[in-house]
Amino acid sequence: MAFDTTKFARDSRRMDWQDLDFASFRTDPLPPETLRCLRYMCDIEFHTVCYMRDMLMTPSQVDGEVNTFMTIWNREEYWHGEALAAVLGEHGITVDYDALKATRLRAGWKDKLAPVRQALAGMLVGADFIAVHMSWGAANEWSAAAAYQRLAAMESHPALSPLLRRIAKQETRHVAFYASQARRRLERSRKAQLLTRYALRKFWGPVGSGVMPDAEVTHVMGHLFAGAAGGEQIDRIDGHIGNLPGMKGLTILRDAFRSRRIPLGAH
Amino acid sequence: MTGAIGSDDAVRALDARLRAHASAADEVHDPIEYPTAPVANPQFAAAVRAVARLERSTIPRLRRMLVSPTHLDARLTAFFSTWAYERYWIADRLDQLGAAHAGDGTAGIPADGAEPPVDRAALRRDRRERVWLLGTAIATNLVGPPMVAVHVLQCLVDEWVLDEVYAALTAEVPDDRSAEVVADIRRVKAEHAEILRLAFALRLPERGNGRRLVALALRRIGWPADAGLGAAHLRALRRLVRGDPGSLSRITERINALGLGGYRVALLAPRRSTVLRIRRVK
Ligand SMILES: [Fe+2]
Ligand SMILES: [Fe+2]
Repeated sequence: MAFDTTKFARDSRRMDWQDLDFASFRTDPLPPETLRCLRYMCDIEFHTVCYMRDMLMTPSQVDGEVNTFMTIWNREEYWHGEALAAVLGEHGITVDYDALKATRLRAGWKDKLAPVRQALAGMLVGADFIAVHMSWGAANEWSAAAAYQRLAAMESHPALSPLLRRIAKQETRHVAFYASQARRRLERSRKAQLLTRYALRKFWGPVGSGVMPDAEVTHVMGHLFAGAAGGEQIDRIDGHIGNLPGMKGLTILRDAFRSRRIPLGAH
Repeated sequence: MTGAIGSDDAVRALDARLRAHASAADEVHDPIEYPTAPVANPQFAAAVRAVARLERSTIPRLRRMLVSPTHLDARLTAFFSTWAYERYWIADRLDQLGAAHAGDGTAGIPADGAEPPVDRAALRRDRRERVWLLGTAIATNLVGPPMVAVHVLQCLVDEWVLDEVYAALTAEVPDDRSAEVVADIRRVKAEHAEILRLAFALRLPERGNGRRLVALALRRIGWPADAGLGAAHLRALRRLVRGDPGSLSRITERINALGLGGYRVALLAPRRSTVLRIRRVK
């Protein structure tokens, strides 16, 4: 199934929450556990530009369709950050640019050299490296969509839940782009399949790992995907990834949870 | 960085302006409609297509900035999200103007469209640029924060030159509908330039090596900075820049108001890959 980038660009809107009853956060405030998750998600949304940078160091950059998507996608994610920051703001939690900068700084030299690594890998492996990035992006967007849907269901809050469902809807469109790109690029190259399989198995971690402190990753993922319903979601995403060409049998989400000792509902 | 109260106020004012800018971005992108079909005007078509090419070069530009410490600057990266979005649609509208006035559809410069075909030369250029970026990533991280000021300055000077280019387009715009489109674009561009100017003032080191480095970078700016422009693009841009004899001195004035010393903007000889250079005035 091809992804219509032109239509995606034309239909894209900044996340809107003006019509939602944010005053309800005063009478019906969110519990600390949820706020901790939202804070994490908000940070990650604002850091999208750093993921984009890594993507741009691959040979994908000469592709006009990829450039269009990146431009629109990056802005949508920025607005997810703004929307979540507004919710946090109602609870007295300020997300300011200086704090975001501090998080990026904490990621340290590893982050600084990331583009060097990406470019070297991109040059050694060539165009097949794009498949790795697209598959990686698909796994992340699937995770994001599931996380927002889960939190919306867990909270059933009159303002938060509709907002999170709106965000999840945009994440689903992001999934469509990454998955269709990944599928197309994996289908035509056995080397891309082997490389992607290796990279996902060896290096993939839950969205936000590597940027956010490990304790936060463990807490937030454990909270969002708790219980049998959470386990089911994780398996569903693993199933989607397993359906990509050459990825059969991969269970990168379940593996990532296990290696971080995050409890997860049974198969 | 100075921690002065005045600068904190300036930061807050800039944050408010950034959020207002992000919220105000136009999201309606209907095709441009003309009451009557425009008369073919190949010169105008070639000019808008050359400018469209510059506006479309946002992603490679972002890449150059994001490999450096600039990616840490969450204020700037927030601005870039909207900036890139608006530039994308500006390029789209300029290409529409080009198509409407090309007449036979060529006008010397083929339209870029949203999806230019991937050609071998572009792939080679991209590969060379990525090799170059490896060095840049390491070097700029060693330089640290002054690099952010350099990047903002490069964007700012580009906007100042483009402002003159758009003024030249306005002077030769052949019909009212196109004039409206160019005027809308200029309003968006003016806000980009103003935000960049405010951001630059906050990031320019007050003294020392950092400030010297920024001044040095200013002298190295060539316009346009984009790779892969064809000879026809450069001819069209050159014609726009030199159309009004006052344009170079206006750009010069703005540069000299930065407080980095005296400079003059020089028009280079035709058939170079750069149209303008900034020279130090002793
Ligand atoms: Fe998002
Ligand atoms: Fe997303």
